[in-house]
Parts: sequence; structure tokens; C-alpha cells
Amino acid sequence: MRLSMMATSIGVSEAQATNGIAEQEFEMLVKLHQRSIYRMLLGLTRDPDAAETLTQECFLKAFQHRSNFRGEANVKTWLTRIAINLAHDQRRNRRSQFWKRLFQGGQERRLAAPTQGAVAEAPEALVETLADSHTSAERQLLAREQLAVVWGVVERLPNQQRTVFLLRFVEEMSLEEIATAIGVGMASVKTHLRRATLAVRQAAGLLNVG
Amino acid sequence: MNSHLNNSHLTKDEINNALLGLSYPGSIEDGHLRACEQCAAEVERSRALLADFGRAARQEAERDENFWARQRLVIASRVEHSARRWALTVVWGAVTATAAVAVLWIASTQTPDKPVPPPEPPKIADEQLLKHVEAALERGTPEALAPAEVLIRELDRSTAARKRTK
Repeated sequence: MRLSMMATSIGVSEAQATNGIAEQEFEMLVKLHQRSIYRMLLGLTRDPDAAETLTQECFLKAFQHRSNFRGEANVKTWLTRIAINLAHDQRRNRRSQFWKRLFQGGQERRLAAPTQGAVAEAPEALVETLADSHTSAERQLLAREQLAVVWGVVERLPNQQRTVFLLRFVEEMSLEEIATAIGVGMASVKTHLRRATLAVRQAAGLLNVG
Repeated sequence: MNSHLNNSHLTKDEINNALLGLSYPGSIEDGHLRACEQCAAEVERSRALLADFGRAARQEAERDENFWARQRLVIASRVEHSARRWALTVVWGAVTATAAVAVLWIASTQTPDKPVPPPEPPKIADEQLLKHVEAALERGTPEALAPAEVLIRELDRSTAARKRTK
């Protein structure tokens, strides 16, 4: 029953779903959602390697717990929830690793350097892509600076605020979908979104009025 | 107090609400926004920035088809491995459970017979026991010392015979 609901929501016929085509169904699910899951994880982790690994983890977890999918939410929201939890776990682990490295001394610190580099490279790539859409050099520069500032603020936001902000402006999810994905109420989503947006606007110098 | 009541511009929170689509259509803030170019421009600038940010983030995550195909392969292989491991776990679980049940069954069928209880002492009727006690009391010496009594008796007899011959 559950599988058939999942199948229906990803476009597989119910008749097929009841005939035990879980693997085909799952392949289709991966194909349909791998891009958005990777994109969201890249936004949350700011690390392409971590995003790639966590995308695999996300689908593996989804496969292992596919019987828990009740069909109440759509598959994308369900996968988003798994991905968010993985990203938060990874962030927690990274933070604990940071402290470990700090106490372990110089050698570990040298090993940490490439990771920092990878994170720092990301805004550059972001700005280059943005440059295509702007013509004037001045505008390009402004956009470059503003986007770097936005990413800087987003990275420092608390977990929930950052997640809500990215789901709204990168994934363009509705507030209801976000609430379901992160498992909080609508009021909480609005509060997180207001705070995050305010922080971003403030950092980007867009609070001139009022 | 809301800023529009003072005929000034919208506050940062009101602009934020307008930006996020959280202000009510037809509200005073909404009306102000339609009338005030400065506030409308402020909302528009923020909206453009957020739209640029979203677009750039999406473009940053774009990869060629090889990347996605490779990722699907890796996921499929990990899923298969996981499914195989699960199946193996189930099989091992079943085998272990069956073996445990078999061992228990064999153990229960081959247990030694119940230990033989020690023979109970012969039951003596109360009356018979009373007779034994009475006989023991009437006898001068205890039953256990009867051989000694015989010996003493023999000694006395030989002593008397010796005296008689003297």
C-alpha cells in the first residue's frame, strides 16, 4: 500500500507498485530527486565532496527506511527531511572534529587546510556563474560582493534559520512544504525566515529605510 | 507603533514581511507599499538580491550528466550491497534461530532420568514402635550393649567356678 502510494507520487502506476517493482521504483526516485537533494546539501554543507557523499547516504537511508514512508508528505519532502538531518549531523561532526584537531596540534591543522580552501572556493564559483547574467563590470562587482556577503551570513545562521532560508530561496519550496520537511509549525517557519532574511538584508546593506 | 500610521516609511520588519509575502493583501502596509516608491524600491532590491542568490546557488550545483549517472551507479551499488547484507542477516538470523531451537529440543529429549530418591526407611507402625521402646526399657542394659552383658555374664560364671574349686 505504502509502496503504491510512493509509486503513484513518483509517477509509477499502482499496478506496477503492487507487483514488487521496488528497485525500478527506487531508481526512478533517485533520478527524479538527486539534483535537488545534492543542491540542497551543497547549500547546507558548502562542500561539494560532502554534498556528494551525503546525497548517496540520503538515498541509501531512504531505501532502508522506505517502509516508513507513509505517503502523507510527498517524496521530495520526505527525502528533504532525511537530507537535512544528514547535513545537520555532518555539521555537528565537523564541529567536533574541529575541536579535536585544535587540541591535536599542528599536523592536524595542516590537514584541515584543504577543506577550508574548498569552502572558500565556493563563493568564487557562485559569483562566476552570476556574472553571466549581468553585463556591466560594476554590477558584476557589486553582485560578487553582495553574494559573498549573503553566503557569509547564511553560513553563520543557526541551523534551522539557514535551512529554512535555503529551502525558500534556493529550492523555492512553499512555507507548508518547509514546515513538513523540517518538522516544525508554520509559525516557526515564518519566524526563522523573517530572522534569516533580516540578517541577510542587514549584512547586504539593504536596511536603509525604516 | 507602526510607521505608516505616522505617515513615514515602512519599518524593516514590514518590508521584510512584504518581501516574504507575509503581509496581508489590502492591508495598510500593502497600500503604503503601492504608494511609496522608496519602500517599493527597497522591497524590490531585496527581492532581486534573494532571487540572484537562489539562481546562483542553483547554478553552482549544476553538474554534467556524467556526474549524475555516476552518482546513480554508486547509489544503486550501495543499495544492492545493503539489500544483500540485509538478506544475509535475515538468513543468518533464521539459521541461528533454527539451530538454537534444535539444540534446545535435543537437550530436552536427552536429559537423564529423574534421580532415584533414597529408599524410605521402613514404616513401623506406632504400636510396634511403642512395644520396642517398652522392651528396651524393661531390659536392664541397652540393646546395643547386649554382647558386653553376655561377656560379663561369662566372666562372672568362670570366677564363681574358680572359687568353687578352691
